[in-house]
Amino acid sequence: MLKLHKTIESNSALLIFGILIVTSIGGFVQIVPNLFDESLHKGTANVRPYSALELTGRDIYIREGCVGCHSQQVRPLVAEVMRYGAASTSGEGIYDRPFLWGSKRTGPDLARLGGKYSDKWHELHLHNPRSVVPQSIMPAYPWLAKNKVDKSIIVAKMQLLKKMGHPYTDAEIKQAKSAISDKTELDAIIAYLQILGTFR
Amino acid sequence: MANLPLFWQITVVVLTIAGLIYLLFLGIMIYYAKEPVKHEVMWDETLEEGQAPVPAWWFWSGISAAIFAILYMLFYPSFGNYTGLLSNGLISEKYALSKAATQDDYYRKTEKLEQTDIVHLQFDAEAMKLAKNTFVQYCASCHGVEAKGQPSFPNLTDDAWVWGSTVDKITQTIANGRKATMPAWGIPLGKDGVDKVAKYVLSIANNNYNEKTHGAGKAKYQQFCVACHGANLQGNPAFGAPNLGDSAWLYGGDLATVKQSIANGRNGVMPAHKDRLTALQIKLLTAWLSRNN
Ligand code: HEC
Ligand code: HEC
Ligand code: HEC
Repeated sequence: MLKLHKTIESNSALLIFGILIVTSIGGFVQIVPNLFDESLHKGTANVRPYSALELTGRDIYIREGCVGCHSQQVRPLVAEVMRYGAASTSGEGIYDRPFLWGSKRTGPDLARLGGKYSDKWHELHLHNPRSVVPQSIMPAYPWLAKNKVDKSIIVAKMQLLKKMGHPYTDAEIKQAKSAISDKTELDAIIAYLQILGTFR
Repeated sequence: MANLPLFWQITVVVLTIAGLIYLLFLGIMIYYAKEPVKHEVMWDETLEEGQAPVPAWWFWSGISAAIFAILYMLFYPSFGNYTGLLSNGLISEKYALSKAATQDDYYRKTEKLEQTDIVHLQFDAEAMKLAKNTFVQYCASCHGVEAKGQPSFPNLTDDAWVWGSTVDKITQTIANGRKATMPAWGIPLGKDGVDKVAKYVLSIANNNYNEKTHGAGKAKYQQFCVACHGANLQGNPAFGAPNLGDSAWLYGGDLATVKQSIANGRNGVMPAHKDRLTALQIKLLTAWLSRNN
């Protein structure tokens, strides 16, 4: 055994290889079996792919970096469930690509936001958060109301997601452009915010 | 995590136990390798290269880590469908996912509060403090921390109740939400009409009605607005049409804002809270809001 030890220790290529093998066993045990756990891949009863408008809003959420201050996952801890609502489950997020769980909470978690506020409140809040929450440190996003959404890529986006298994119908993809024409970025992001947490 | 197919459950168990046994074996083996093993190389007369046994603290930390791992697996969900000895007390799904259970913890005397009627709750300082906390958490971003409202969101501390002031009505408002629809009158009234009727409404609110200047606006009001706001501008709680003759304004009582309300319409939405709050929380809020009625 000690001889083996010496052989490995004095040959760095062998040592690197050995370390890789040993650590990958740990990774293997933690990760691979979960890929075969059906319950982690099955959607909840209410889950559905994002509509054209919601998908556009989601991309604006990503573009504006909201995820840098807001998480979207309620952990199964007493205090969190009390504050935000039911704990998040994997089945709610099967159409989240990429997922936006986040890990930074400068602002509150948004996983159960849908229906909590009115569209009007979001409109005022995104235009200037201080107008409704005087102590807020959230940045203002006044340009969202002025910009029309970019509809040139929505069809390609939905087609790609369809290839990855999101069950869009051909009709939905065909109507995607007209569904978001004339909408502002504000309309889109509010549509997205209002369905957060409703796929439970 | 507990839904792995049997094959993978066995894989996890076998690899984990094998890993533990290997760790123990390695530790013990190194511990008993007491004699330093010298290698042939000798530097600078006395500098040797070789292998010495590990220090005792290192050996014992290794053994403790293995023991800790075994205890951890015993108490917490680890293998397959095994949920762990502590699962009923600590992080069981039951506790974490059930709102009622979590709230029991916070509103310690849930049962007692549930049985107390609203009037008595209003005299219970501790219950009112809980109610205020609940309000700050769930309602303040719209109605303000002191419930005094802000433009577009009504003041809940005055006597002007758009949707009714009884315990029943307030409970309904909180649980099911309210949607108010004030149609846009800009087109049927025209610019001049909006101006006239706005001035008429303000003349009643400010108590300076004058037949000569406000008569035309009154006629328009009678034609377009009585159905909802009533002959005396008193409003109608059945569909949330506010009293226009008092000093409480939801959107603002200056001429420009009143004209905007009339020309573009308004769609105030109070969100439903029955899925976010328990019956007890709604009761506490109702008691708190109606304590001055
Ligand atoms: C610098 C950090 C920061 C960024 C970036 C940020 N927020 Fe916030 N957000 C906050 C803070 C702090 C609050 C709490 C105060 C408030 O309500 O304004 C908040 C509150 C909110 C709320 C209210 C949540 C609740 O339950 O009361 C919403 C909705 C929201 N943010 C959406 C957004 C969106 C959408 C974006 C991206 C366009 C965004 N935020 C970007 C910090 C941030
Ligand atoms: C279909 C019923 C209906 C009719 C008709 C109607 N209103 Fe209203 N009005 C409402 C409702 C409901 C609200 C409350 C809107 C809200 O809460 O968002 C309202 C709100 C208002 C407000 C804002 C009050 C405030 O506190 O800021 C004004 C001003 C007003 N109405 C004037 C008028 C005038 C003038 C007319 C006639 C031209 C009229 N309304 C016709 C239902 C009606
Ligand atoms: C999204 C913002 C928002 C939140 C959050 C909110 N409200 Fe409201 N609330 C409103 C609006 C807007 C109205 C007025 C509806 C209308 O136009 O008539 C209202 C009306 C009410 C009324 C009726 C007032 C009247 O004059 O009849 C009560 C009572 C009330 N809210 C209580 C609450 C309580 C309690 C909470 C917290 C659980 C709460 N609200 C949370 C926006 C909100």
